[in-house]
Amino acid sequence: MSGRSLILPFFLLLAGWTVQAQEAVLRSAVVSGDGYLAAGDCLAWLDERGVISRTRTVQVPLVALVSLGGSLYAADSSGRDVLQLDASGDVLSRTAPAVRGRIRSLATDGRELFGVTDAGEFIRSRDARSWQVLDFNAEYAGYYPRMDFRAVAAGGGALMVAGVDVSGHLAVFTSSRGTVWAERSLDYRDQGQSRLLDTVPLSLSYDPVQDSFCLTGGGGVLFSMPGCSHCNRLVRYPVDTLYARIPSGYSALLLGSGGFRTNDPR
Amino acid sequence: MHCIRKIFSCSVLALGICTVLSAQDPQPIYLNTAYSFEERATDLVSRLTLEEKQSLLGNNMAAVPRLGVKNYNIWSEALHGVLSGANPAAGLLGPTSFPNSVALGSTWDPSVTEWMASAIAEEARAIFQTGTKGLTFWSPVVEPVRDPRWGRTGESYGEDPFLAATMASGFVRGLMGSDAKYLKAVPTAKHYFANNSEFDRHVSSSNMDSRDMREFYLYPYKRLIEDDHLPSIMSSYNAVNHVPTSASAFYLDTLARRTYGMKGYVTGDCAAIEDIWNGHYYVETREQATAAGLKAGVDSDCGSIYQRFAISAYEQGILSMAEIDRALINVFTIRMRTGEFDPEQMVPYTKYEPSRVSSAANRALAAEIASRTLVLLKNEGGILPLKPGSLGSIALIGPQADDVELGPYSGRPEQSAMISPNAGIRQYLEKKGYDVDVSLVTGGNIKSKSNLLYVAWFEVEKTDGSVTRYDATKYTACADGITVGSGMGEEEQVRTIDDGSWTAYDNVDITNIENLTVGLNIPTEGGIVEIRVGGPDGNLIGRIEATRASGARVGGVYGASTPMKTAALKLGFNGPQTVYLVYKAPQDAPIDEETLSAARNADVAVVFVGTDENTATEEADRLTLLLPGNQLALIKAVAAVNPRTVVVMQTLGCVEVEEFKHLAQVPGILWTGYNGQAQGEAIARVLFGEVNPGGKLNATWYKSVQDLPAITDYNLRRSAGAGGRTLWYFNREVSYPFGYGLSYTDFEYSNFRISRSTVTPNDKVTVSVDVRNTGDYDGDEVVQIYVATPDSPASLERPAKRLKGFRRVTIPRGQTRTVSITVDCADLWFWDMQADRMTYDPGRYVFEIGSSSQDIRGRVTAVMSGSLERRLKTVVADCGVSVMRIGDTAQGRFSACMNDDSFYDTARAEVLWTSNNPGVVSVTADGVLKAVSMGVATVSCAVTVDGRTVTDCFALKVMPDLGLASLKLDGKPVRLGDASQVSFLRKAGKAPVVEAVAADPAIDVDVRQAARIPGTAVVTLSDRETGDSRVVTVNFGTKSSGDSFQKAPASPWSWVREDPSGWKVSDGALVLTAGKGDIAQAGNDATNILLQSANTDWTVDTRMSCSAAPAAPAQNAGLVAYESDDNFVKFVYSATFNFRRQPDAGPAPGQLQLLVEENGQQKTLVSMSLEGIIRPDNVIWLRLVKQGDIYTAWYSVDGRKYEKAGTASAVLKDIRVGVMACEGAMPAMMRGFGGRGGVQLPQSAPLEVSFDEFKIVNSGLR
Repeated sequence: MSGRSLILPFFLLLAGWTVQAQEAVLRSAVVSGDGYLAAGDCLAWLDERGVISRTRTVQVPLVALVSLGGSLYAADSSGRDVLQLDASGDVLSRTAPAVRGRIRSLATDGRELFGVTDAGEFIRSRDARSWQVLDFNAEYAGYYPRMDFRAVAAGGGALMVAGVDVSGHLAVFTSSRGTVWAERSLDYRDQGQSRLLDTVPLSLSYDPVQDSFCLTGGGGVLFSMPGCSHCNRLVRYPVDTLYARIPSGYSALLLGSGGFRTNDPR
Repeated sequence: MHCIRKIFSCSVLALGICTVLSAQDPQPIYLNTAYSFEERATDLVSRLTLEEKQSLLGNNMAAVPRLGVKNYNIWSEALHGVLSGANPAAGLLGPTSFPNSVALGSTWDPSVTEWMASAIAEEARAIFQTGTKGLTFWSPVVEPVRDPRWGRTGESYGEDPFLAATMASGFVRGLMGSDAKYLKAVPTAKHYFANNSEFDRHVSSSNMDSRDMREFYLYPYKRLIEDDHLPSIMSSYNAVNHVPTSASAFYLDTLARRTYGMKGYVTGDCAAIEDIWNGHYYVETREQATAAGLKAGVDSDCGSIYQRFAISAYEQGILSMAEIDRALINVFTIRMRTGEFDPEQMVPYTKYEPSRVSSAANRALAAEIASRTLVLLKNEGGILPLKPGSLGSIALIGPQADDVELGPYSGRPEQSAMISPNAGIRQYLEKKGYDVDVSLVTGGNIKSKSNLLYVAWFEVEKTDGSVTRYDATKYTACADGITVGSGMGEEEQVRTIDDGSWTAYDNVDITNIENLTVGLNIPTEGGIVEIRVGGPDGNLIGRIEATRASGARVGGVYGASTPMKTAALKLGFNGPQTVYLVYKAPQDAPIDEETLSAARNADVAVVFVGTDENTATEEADRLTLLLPGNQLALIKAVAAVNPRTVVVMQTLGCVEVEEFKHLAQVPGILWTGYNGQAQGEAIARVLFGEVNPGGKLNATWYKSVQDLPAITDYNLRRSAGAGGRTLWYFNREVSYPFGYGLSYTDFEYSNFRISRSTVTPNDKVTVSVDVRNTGDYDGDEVVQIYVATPDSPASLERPAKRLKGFRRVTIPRGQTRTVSITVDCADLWFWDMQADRMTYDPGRYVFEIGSSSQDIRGRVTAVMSGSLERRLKTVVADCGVSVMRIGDTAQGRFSACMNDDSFYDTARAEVLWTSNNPGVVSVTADGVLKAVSMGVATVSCAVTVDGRTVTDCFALKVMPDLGLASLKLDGKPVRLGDASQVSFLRKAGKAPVVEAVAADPAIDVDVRQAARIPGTAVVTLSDRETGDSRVVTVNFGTKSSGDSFQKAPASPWSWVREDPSGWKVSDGALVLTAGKGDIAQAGNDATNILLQSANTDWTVDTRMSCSAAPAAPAQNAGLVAYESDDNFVKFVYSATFNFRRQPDAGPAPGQLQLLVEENGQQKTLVSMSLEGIIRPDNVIWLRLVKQGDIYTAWYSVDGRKYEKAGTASAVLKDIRVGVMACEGAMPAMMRGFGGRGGVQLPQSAPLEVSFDEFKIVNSGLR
């Protein structure tokens, strides 16, 4: 709230908004009815165009939000717990999976929950209570670089994780069932030239209409990875950080820094 | 070859393998270099789990640390240099970029491509050593250029299959290296085959007869596989004759492997497997696409279909483990052939340092090759070479004057290595000490005026804010040439939009219009969209400038549409109108005065023009052959002010030149294809005469695009009023013929001779000519041999002539060289479409010797008679599996192809089967193989036809024994043999304790005891290595009871999901009314399944009568052997669903089905139509016999004579048996269709099924 008087936030509170809603960072979202429920520094209900209709505060900022079987699950910035929320955002339960790292991202394929940590762990659960852990760095020591995972997505019969290696370079891996992982090519064409994507990943999502995974990151990066590894596409949005892309039918919502919210028709 | 057991050694550790094996473990076979690569690959694949196998079926192959297998990307490119950039962290500079294939093709010198490929392979090895890239390269492109508009013409060696094959042969040999054991790098020829138009490549079918197929499209592959042992091909996106190449066992297995003899791996083009499903709609599910691709022989998916759906395809029973294994063995054999799994000191190609990349030697090589590609098209008055000593000034003009255009599939070479024409000329003059004033102006642009946009939709926004969107692909009329497609994307778009194209839309309401928005994509330069009413020249209501020049940056060839909006011009139109989208290329600015002044004031004006990747490329064909942008205007404007204008063209192929080639003020014209990083150096050396250009055109240069048939017409001969194609069949005037190219000197041909005047197809003939350099410069000449067959029947429409030999020779001025070229008469074949084999026309074969296909200097003739001596050429042997278990047998089989590409009747061949390790796999004289003990063996099949023997072999791995050494019940041994199930018939009570010992100590054993009798003990044997397991069930059962259903079923019967309203007992029969549901796969909701315990072997009989034939989609009734809803065997009388059946054909006859469901995965083992068998009263007797895990189904229509329907195998536990009747579940294949195409699913009446009796006779061990 730097640089703001006390009058403005009071007024906004009266109006049913919080100052945090105006400047709040929204990092993740799920489809909710005709719109979205987004999570970050607060919870926000958005219409299909990304316009906020209402918000509520959260005790600790949330870094991930997914919906499974009618329930909402989130990870907060502590990275320790997986929270179960009700439809209005109240915390129903917390579970702390037995991991070494901080949980950075959650995903679901409609049957299971998945998560990744910054210690290179991949976790999964069918009930959000009992979690299996794959220590990717231990499993693949000497074969793949040590990873700090930042994002995970699931869908279309595949799983995908993204993170940075010890040199800070982007690496993405895919699996069909979660125990065997292959590295994903990050080549793309720009004006006919072959380039390699290198950005800090912030989210992954799976788009069932396009049957492709999308990675968002710094520099407004939106990187589509369809099944064909020859066919990656990079688009840059005019925003410092693109936090997430949430597919909804033939459209998708993009969440970015500075209150950036827009539909992505791709 | 014998199995050598070594102690796990430090040399293996040097490979960086995790020591998952202890120091005492023997070295695994796949790491033992004493075995063949194929044996080792087979051993490795046999150790993989199912999920590991799936993850290795794509180009990004996963690491498998427990086996020491590194991750590997099968996909790399090296068309004219490794497709990569600098990697400072690894000490690597950007790889050398040599001239592209279109330029190499104009050298007519396969030693050049071999030289280049060898250098590329060395750079590839140096890069590979750093662990950043693989050694398998999806290069070269070997498709002959059937149509110059093809977007990938720049990647091909030329229009003629002989030229393309010969040039590619050099590439293949150079890349593979000459070591007898290891491959330096691995080439993959592509795109197999007939992938010659880009705009529709994912959905199109290249249709042709077998002559064009064999003589033209397949010819390069045949040559490369047979002569150079090409180890890999890539299957293409397109279909050929309506069958996707990636799903065709005929194209991939019968032709490539069994006819031509390819040994290696097949990769699909990226997303080609997916295209089988959602491009060609050849199959209905992605699992089916997976199965189709693997069965056809595509071993690796550059996509993600295999990697996501192979396991489910396997579980559905439509793909076998043997098919998965074969694909992985092919890929791993190739990886092993690169030495990846061997100690470094054994592999000769591991010694290349990073400094090899972009070395001075390779840069010099790139420059040397670039100087050999240039083709001199015109040289009037000796304008060339330029004499720098007498030149005061030279103007370098044009958009390519200071540009380095590398063309498609180019890496990122070092900036210091990239030499533009401007830089090259300046460097040359400075180096040689010439004081020439060089001016540089561009004065033109290269912006494509073709293939402007992709348009998906447009919107009309009204003043009240309402928006209506219209699908642009649903036009009511359009200009010629417009197409609709989605390419690699998901969105359908209007495509192939040219300058002046239009699309029209009826009934667009533009009342109170406010704004117009168009959803579009710019694949190249873009264009202008005019929105008009009433006609392409009608009233303008909106205009959108969608060009890169204006700053729009939407899309690219792979992109989806992005909206661009404009305010509408309110002209007062009301109501529905016909709206036109009219597409225009931007107008060029006039040639500026600066350019004209530079040209006017120079002694010589050199205009550099050409094409780039925005003219045409992958996914985008050319729609015109004109030079893009305003380059033609530039040439004319410069020539108008300077009579000494030289035009230098660098293009992807043929361009129209008629508008300037005859201009007297353009006395000099040079052409090259994309000429690599050193193109500027090369052009300087040629312009100034240090190098005499010796290149020849690798394609026909047509006068106009109007001379060509449709790009989608794959016929070579005349068709549907269109002319023929290529030098073989094109019979109109051209700008420049195939093989054309001038020189600074002159060559005189004389003394034409032929080694023999009568030949048979079995002979070789040598054609010789003396060539004298009569000019003033040393120079290269390409002597070309064309063959015509004037005595061939006209009706056969043979080619006018075919290139069948050439040689590029260097001849110093004043000297004479004798050039002798040997032609193998076997290569003069044609394809006999009726006999399906090669044929030869008797009569004269005229060998035309010349400097181009039309500049024939002399002719010699030989008369051919006789026929080709048929001899055995290719044998391919296999047995259907690669991995066996002890005791398994398999039948060896083989194909034998002759040298005329026909197949020999294998029944007549003399065959000798041998095993190199009969203690592991034995083989009988009839080719019956038996797995004897654990290990690997290679089985050979030597086939002899007419005294000639050709041998093929294949490797087999025999896995550890999953058998039992002993099985005891309460301490007493039981003889089990190989059975997976044994049944005991006893009295109810306490179950005996089961003990089991595995035959192989490497196998884990787990026993779950039966709780009581009836009950089942389960013995699980697991292979620790692969996770493979075998389950042996010991069923303990009691005597079951028959029933004549005189009263309601009571104990021992019980119901599953009883619905009392759905059954009754009537007239001595149990009557079930088929209720909704089934127990098929996930739909476990069938009611009224009547069961009793039968946990033994047994024979069950019932007489069943139905109120009607079971009706579609899936009514069924009959017997069931039931463990659970997800594990059962069903033998039923069921409906036949055929949505193509005509409504007036009457009810479809039913069928008998024997189905097995295991763990929820259902397989139909028997599907037998009862048409003409079942009586009109729908009475049938069913018998099901269980012996161990084998279920045999029998039926009778009279209760006396039984016919066998089939057998199934299933291991069930705690078995109950009984009867059921249900509506059934929609067939899986129909679930995705629903009401597609207006098909209405028939309504079925309730089915009543009467079971008159239920008889059961139990059996089993005591």
